[in-house]
Amino acid sequence: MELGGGGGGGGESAAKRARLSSGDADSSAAAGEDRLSALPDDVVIFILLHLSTRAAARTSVLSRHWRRIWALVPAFHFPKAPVRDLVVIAHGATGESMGVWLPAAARRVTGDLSLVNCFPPYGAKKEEESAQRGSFEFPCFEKATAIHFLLGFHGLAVPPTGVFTRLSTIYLGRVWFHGPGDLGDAVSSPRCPCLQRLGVDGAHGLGGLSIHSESMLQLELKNVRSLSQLTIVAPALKELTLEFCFAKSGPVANITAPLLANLVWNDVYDPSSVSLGKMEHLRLLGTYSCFVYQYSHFMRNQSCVSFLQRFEGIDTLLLTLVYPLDTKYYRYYMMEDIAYTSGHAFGASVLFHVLRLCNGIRRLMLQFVASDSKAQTVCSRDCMCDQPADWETKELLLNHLEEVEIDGLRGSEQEFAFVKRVFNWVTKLKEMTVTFHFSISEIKAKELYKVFQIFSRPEVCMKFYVYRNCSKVLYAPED
Amino acid sequence: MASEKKVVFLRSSDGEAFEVSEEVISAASVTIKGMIDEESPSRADTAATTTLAIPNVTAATLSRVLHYVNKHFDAAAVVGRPDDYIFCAPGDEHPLARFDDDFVDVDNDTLIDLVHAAEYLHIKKLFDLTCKAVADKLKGRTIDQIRETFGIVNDYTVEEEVEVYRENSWAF
Repeated sequence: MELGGGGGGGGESAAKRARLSSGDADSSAAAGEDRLSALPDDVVIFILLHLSTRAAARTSVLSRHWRRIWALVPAFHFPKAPVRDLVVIAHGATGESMGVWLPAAARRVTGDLSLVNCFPPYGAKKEEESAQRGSFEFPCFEKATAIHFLLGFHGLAVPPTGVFTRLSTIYLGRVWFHGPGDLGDAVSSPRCPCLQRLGVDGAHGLGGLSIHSESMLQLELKNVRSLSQLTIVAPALKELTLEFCFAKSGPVANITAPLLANLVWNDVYDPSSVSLGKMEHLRLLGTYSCFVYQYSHFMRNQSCVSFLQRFEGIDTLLLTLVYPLDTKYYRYYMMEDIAYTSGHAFGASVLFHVLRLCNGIRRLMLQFVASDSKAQTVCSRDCMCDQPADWETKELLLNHLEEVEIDGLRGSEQEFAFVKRVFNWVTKLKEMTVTFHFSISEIKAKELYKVFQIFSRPEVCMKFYVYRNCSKVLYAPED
Repeated sequence: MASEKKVVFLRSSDGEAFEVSEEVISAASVTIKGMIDEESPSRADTAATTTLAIPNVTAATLSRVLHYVNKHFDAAAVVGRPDDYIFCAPGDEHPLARFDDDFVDVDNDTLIDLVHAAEYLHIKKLFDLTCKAVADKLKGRTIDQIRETFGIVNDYTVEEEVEVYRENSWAF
């Protein structure tokens, strides 16, 4: 209840504190033997079961031994007190059992309710099995401000009526939607007046989604595999991410979001069936992955290209270039789609062509997701690499580029050749941030750092990051 | 044939033997019932009484446990409904409720001995009763009082203790 000895007790040794009780009638304390803590955990849990959850949780401060025991108590009681945040990890729980306690939780939680059901592991067959385990309807959360459900493709029925009065964030991951309620209807303004963020990642059973929201700021739809029709009317929406939703059915979407600033369309795109409306505030654009090589020249990067053609004057562009691990079968260089030239190796020429299309960019972020490092170096004698590529000879002016970020740099010759070219193309570069690939040792990082020093310019602020024990740290050479 | 009532002897860890009705102790203790069932084939026709070793329980505790068992499980002694008195309405107090209150009104050491014995002998009612009694000793006391009462040594550093308080601040 009170911090008591917590602050002032520092000088007092623990043993002395225990001895204080020697005057007590209790002989155990007098003998200095802590028989309560010596009880098996199972028994202690059973004892704590007789306390309120608050009182049980307070035992955490008794000693190190007690710190986590209370959390093992299988039943929680929160008499009358409102619960702010509640995280429930329910491995393999059935729809029936979740349907029982969720409404009770919904009445109490005033903050964030997170529910994680890790069953089953990934795999299409397992997903179907899981969906067979019955579904539950999620109750109307009248008080909660956020819900995060990660359900392992458990069936979930959206309530057909009711208002989520205070809800501002909804995240639904790995869900199998069941009728009759409609998700679009539930998250739209009349029923979700405060909703600002909606994320759905991994979902079955969601064919059409129609959202009309005055309040929504962020919308993220990923791996909604059955989506065939998407309608969004969101006058306040700032960020929209769509990823791998339309692959099966083809893209049909009608989006009205005049204030949109970030649009990531990592999905198939077809200008004849997708209407994106006016987006005059767009700053960041992300596209579908671009395949640099294919095994057939019939395959095209049409989605990426037509999507890029739709926009002008973009501040930031996220472009993912996909390179095969083994180039043996992927013989066809695909970037003619974007510009009619050919090249090879690591993608400098690809980027050259892309940059030529959008030479007004201010900030460039490059992530090198290098495939097999061996594959990079093995080129046949008549390989295109041997011929001078456009990007090495032709000039390009990037007058607006101020910031460049490079992630995953391993220091190959081609990488450096390209970075050098970038320095030739820019006139106003202010900042370059380089994060070395996690496999780069400190010694190697120092070497690479020196190479950068040679061709960098004094007005450019250079920052380097290396990985140390799996975390990214600023690299500062001693000398 | 009233005198034919079978008895068993239970020998405590410190060597003292206690006599108890086989029927009563079998109804009370899952552990002892198991021991008796295991023994039965070998003593089917012998008149000799069985002595079971209870290595984890001292004489002092065992005698208390048997006192409880005889009160609660001897059909002749029990009045009313023996098993569901816990669920009685608050008004109609079970005759044994008073006995139970007095039974667990002991010092901490004795109480914890009883918890151990009830767990080992698998006497569910006694285990529930004693665990609840321990819980009652925790209720309404401050952390320092609990530490004093049970002799729990606070081995947190000051920083750790503050951290744990912060971690569970919602409970205080």
